[in-house]
Parts: sequence; C-alpha cells; structure tokens
Amino acid sequence: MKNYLLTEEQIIALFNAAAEHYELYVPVNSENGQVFCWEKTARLDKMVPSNIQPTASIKKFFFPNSEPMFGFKKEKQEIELYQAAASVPRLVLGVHSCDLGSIKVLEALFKDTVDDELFREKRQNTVLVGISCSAKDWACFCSQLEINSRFSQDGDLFITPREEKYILSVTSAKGEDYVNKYLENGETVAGFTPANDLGEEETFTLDFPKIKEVMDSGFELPVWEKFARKCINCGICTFLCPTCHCFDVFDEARRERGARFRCYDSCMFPEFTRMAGGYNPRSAKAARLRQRYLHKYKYFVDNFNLIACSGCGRCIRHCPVNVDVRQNLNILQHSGSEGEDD
Amino acid sequence: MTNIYTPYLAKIKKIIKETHDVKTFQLELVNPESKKKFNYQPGQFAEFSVFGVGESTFCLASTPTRPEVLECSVKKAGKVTSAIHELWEGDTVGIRGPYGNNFPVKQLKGKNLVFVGGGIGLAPLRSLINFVLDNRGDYGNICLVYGARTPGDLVYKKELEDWDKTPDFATHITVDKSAGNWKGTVGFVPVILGEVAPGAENAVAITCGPPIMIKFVVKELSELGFKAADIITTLEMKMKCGLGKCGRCNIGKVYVCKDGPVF
Ligand SMILES: Cc1cc2nc3c(=O)[nH]c(=O)nc-3n(C[C@H](O)[C@H](O)[C@H](O)COP(=O)(O)OP(=O)(O)OC[C@H]3O[C@@H](n4cnc5c(N)ncnc54)[C@H](O)[C@@H]3O)c2cc1C
Ligand code: SF4
Ligand code: SF4
Ligand code: FES
Repeated sequence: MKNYLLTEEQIIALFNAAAEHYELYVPVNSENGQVFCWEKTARLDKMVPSNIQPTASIKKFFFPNSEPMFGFKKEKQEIELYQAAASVPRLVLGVHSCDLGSIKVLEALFKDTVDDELFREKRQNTVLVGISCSAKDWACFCSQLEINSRFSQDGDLFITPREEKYILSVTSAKGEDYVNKYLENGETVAGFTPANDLGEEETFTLDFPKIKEVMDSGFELPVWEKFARKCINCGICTFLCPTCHCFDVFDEARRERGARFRCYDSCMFPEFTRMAGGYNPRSAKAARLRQRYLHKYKYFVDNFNLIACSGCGRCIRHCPVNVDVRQNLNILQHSGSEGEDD
Repeated sequence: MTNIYTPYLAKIKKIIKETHDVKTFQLELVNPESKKKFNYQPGQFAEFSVFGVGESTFCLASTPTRPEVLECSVKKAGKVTSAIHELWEGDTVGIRGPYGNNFPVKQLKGKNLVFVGGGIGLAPLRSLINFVLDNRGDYGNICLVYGARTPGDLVYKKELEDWDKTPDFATHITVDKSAGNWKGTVGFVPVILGEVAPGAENAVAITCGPPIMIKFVVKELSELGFKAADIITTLEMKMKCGLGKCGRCNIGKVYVCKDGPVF
C-alpha cells in the first residue's frame, strides 16, 4: 500500500483535477448539521469533512432508491426495448469505514450466480475516497464488526489526518490509477501505521459467532415477538441500511412508452411476501423482523460467509420507535436456544 | 447497457383456453440467438412480462424434447396474470429465464414415477411427464393422481385423455366437488392417492399443488412407504427477480428462485 503525505491544498487540488471527467460528491454540512446524502459539487473548496455520516448510505451510488432497468416502446403488437445509458464516472469523498465495509456485502450478492451489471457498472465507475472518522456517536458499533473507523482498505483511496497534513493511502488499483493520473508532486511516506479504532463507549459486547449459533436453532424463540412489538413497519431501517438490498420491480408506462424500474423494497412490509390469493408466509410483524435479523446475522453468513451489517448505527439512530438492534442481539446472545430449527 | 433483467422478446403464437381462469400460451422467442440460449429442463420457470404492467413467474409447462413449442399456463390471480389473459395471438411479450433448478431427470431413470398434482400445479408435472414419454425407454411405469376443485378446473383435458390411453400410464383424475355430468371420481387428492396406493418399491413421487395439498400428499406418501428422499416437491414463494437478488423468496437461507423450486 502506497501512502502520500499531502497538504490540504494538495488534497483539494487532487480531487478538483478530475472535475472535468468525474462528478464530485461530498458530504456537506447543512445548517443543522444533518446531511441526508452526499451532494454533487462543481468544485471542492475546502477539506473533505471527517465528521459526517450521511443519513442515506453509500449504497445509493450503486443501488439507487429507484433506477430504470430498460425502456420499451409499443407499436401495435410489436415491442422495442431500450437499454439504460452507462453511468457517469463519480468521485465520492468522505466515506466512513462502515460504509466502505458494507460494499462487499452488496458486491457478494450482486455478483452471485449471475452478475448484476447495473450494480457492477456503477461500482466500477466510482472512485471511493474514505476518511478517518471523527464523529462516532451513541449508535455506532462498527468496531464490534471488526471495522476500524479510523482506517479502511475497502475503498479506493483513504485520507488520515496527520498533524497539519494528511496521509492519502492508495487502497485499490482504481485508486492507484487515479493518483497516477491526477496527483502532481506527491511525496510518498514510508512506515505509515494506520490508527486503531478507539472502540465504543456504551454498547454491549456482541459475540457474533455466538449470536449466529443461537439463531441457527432459534427460529421459534419467543423473543422475536418481543422485539417486534413496538415496530411500526415503516421500513426506515432497511432503506437507510447500507447492506439491505431487497428490491421491487415495476413498470411505469404512459401510452406506448414506458420503462421497467427497480426500487427499494423492505422485508418489514407485509406486501413483500404476500402472494396472489392472499397467502403470506410472513404475515406477522415478528416474522418480518426475524427475517431481517436472520438475514443479516445468519443467512448471509451461511451463504456468503459475511455478516450483512457494518455497525453503522443508522437503523438505531433513525428508528422512530427506538428499536435497537444491539439491545436485541444482546438479548439473543444471552438467551438459550430452546426453539426449533427452521 | 444490457443487464440480466432485460427479457427476451417473444411472440404469442397460440392461446389455448384451458378453464374459465387458466389459459395456455404458446410462445416463440423472436430472436434466433435467444432461442439458442433458452435451454431449459422440466421443472424450471421463467419470468413472463407484459410491458407496461409487469412480470410474473410461471413454470415452463412444455418439454425441451419438443423444441417447437414453449408454453406457460397462466391462472388469472391478480394484476399481471389478468393482463396476460387479455393478450392476443401475435402480441409481443417478454420472457426471462430459464431460472431455478429442475427435476432430476437423470436420477429418475429406471424408476416408476408417481405424479401427484392439484389445480394449476399440473403445469410443471406436465413438462416432466411429456419429457418422460419422449424418453419412454428410460423410465418405468407412470401413475398420475390429479385433482382440481371442480371438473371445470381441470387443465390439459385433451392430454389427460391421451395419457389415459397410453400403456404403462395409469391416470386417476378427481375433483373436490362434482358438477355437470361428471362421472369420474370425487374426493381430495391425498385421499384418492391413498386409495390408488401406488407402490413405493423403486418409485419416486413428484408433487406440485397448493401448499395444503402438498402437506397431506407427503403425509400419505410416507404412509405408503415412500422415503423422504423419494418424494420431490416444488415450492412457491412470491418472486420478483428470479435470480436470488431481490431477497423475498427465501425459506431460511434457501432462495426458492435459485436453489429451487424443486426440492
Ligand atoms: C416457481 C413458481 C412457478 C409458478 N408457476 C405458475 C404456473 O405455471 N402457472 C400459474 O398460473 N401460476 C404460477 N405461479 C404463481 C404465479 O407466479 C402467481 O400467481 C402470479 O405471479 C400472480 O401475479 P399477479 O400479478 O397476477 O398477482 P398480484 O397479486 O397482483 O401480484 C403482483 C406480483 O407479485 C408477485 N407474485 C404474487 N403472487 C405470487 C406467487 N404466488 N408466486 C410468485 N410471485 C408472485 C409477482 O411478481 C406478481 O406480478 C408460479 C409461482 C412460482 C413461484
Ligand atoms: S425503523 Fe424501526 S419501526 Fe421502522 S421498520 Fe425498522 S425497526 Fe420497525
Ligand atoms: S443493520 Fe443497522 S447498523 Fe447494521 S449496517 Fe444496517 S443500518 Fe447499519
Ligand atoms: S425472486 Fe428475487 S430473490 Fe428469489
């Protein structure tokens, strides 16, 4: 891994140098300090902030809320199909380790069995620039998932402050290409040791292998019912989660023209699994919340050997009724597994 | 940019009205290239598009041994299936697939086959039955127990008659409730299966139908001596992508669309 020692001006210049070829996205601070998502900017005029985790996660760049898959035109009995245009190259700045870490979950899913070009093309066309997080809050628990909030190699480039300057780490071939093309007079440094995570203050120690073990035989545990009691099925946890990836497919058409889209769906909605005729295998709220948890901490581990959670805390921070996945996992890891297997 | 969700275009060659709410659609892929790529096995399914309305999942009811026809039988059940029922011969639709696993046609060789179907659940069984008939020497005797709610709900009536006349092929057709001039059997499929009592020796049972029927059929089969390994079922869950991506069709860690629908 190559590391450069750069000044603020050099960092700014490095990302402005490509402005002609890339769309530039930064997590900008709005007045109240909340940002919903990275915003497109023509030029970077100050250092990338390190204290902002946008409410919407990084997945929006590769897996947007809604995207056309193809267009169609009808003429009498004939149909003509149109493919979506290729995406514009993008440079996304200020990405935290939790979001960078979440991408491998989506990558595993979207390339499994058959490759999802819609996802892959956008990921390939995006340079992700991470930054050492300086804003852990009460809901974060990334360190419990072995994600280091101060450093990550899951993106393409990574910025760590050092005294008055910054270390720019090159963490992928794409990052390397970018630097080779756009960095002028960069001074490399030898012997950079990334900072360690400081851990979280008030959280439970979650033992994920143990949690999985409880889940393996815990399909019928009575706690699911308890966990789901206050949930209002709003789906916010799934929309904001960087690793949630379930989608719906639908057509929009006016007269003879239209398109097929995919858009976020949520396992927390009863319609998600309701079949024609009315039968719904997950009609109970508890069955849906259980599906969300089992999918993240068990099924995904079974199928891809990855936990589908990066501890970003969004589902905790933004749940309107304070459903806290950490608390629930903590209860699970301490509950016996007297339930039946699924 | 092409992508895995873009269907092949297909023309509706022929529409056969099976019952008051089931129609069979004979399709022909428009592009000869896609025709070559669309190689399926009995038990697999496809996503059928009506552009402007949406997509739905149907098993391929035809057999690859008769490559001149590609068929889906569609029961009117909601939004997309209603739109499918309004299509005309000559209309262009979309087909994505084939998806899912298939019946283990190789392992079934040399076995006696017991087919148990309910309602539209005969569609995937029909694919395998015709496949077996086209490779008759490879398989043993066939027994079919098929039922529908009323005589009017029985699908593939003409084929049922032909099968009945085929040697080494015993057909047992039943209805839950008699109507009109029905002279055949009346009774639920699992009950009739119990009465027919096909031998479990060197036999494999393949069943498809409503979940409740499957449950009692499996129970009946095990009472007849069929081991769990010799009972093949198909499962149904709501689907969208058919490719293991959209996340809704799982039962535990298993995704019916890519790990199934044959279990
Ligand atoms: C593997 C498999 C094979 C099938 N084979 C056949 C067949 O050969 N013939 C037949 O008539 N039906 C079959 N079905 C059921 C058929 O897919 C549904 O009846 C149909 O999707 C209902 O669509 P709809 O738009 O009319 O209903 P709506 O209730 O309006 O449903 C809207 C959408 O939800 C999804 N959906 C709803 N119910 C189901 C369901 N039961 N299964 C899958 N997706 C669903 C579809 O994407 C559908 O377009 C099969 C289902 C599966 C899973
Ligand atoms: S955000 Fe909270 S209330 Fe909304 S669906 Fe998720 S757990 Fe339920
Ligand atoms: S489950 Fe919650 S904490 Fe984990 S990645 Fe999703 S939103 Fe973040
Ligand atoms: S239908 Fe989308 S995952 Fe199975």
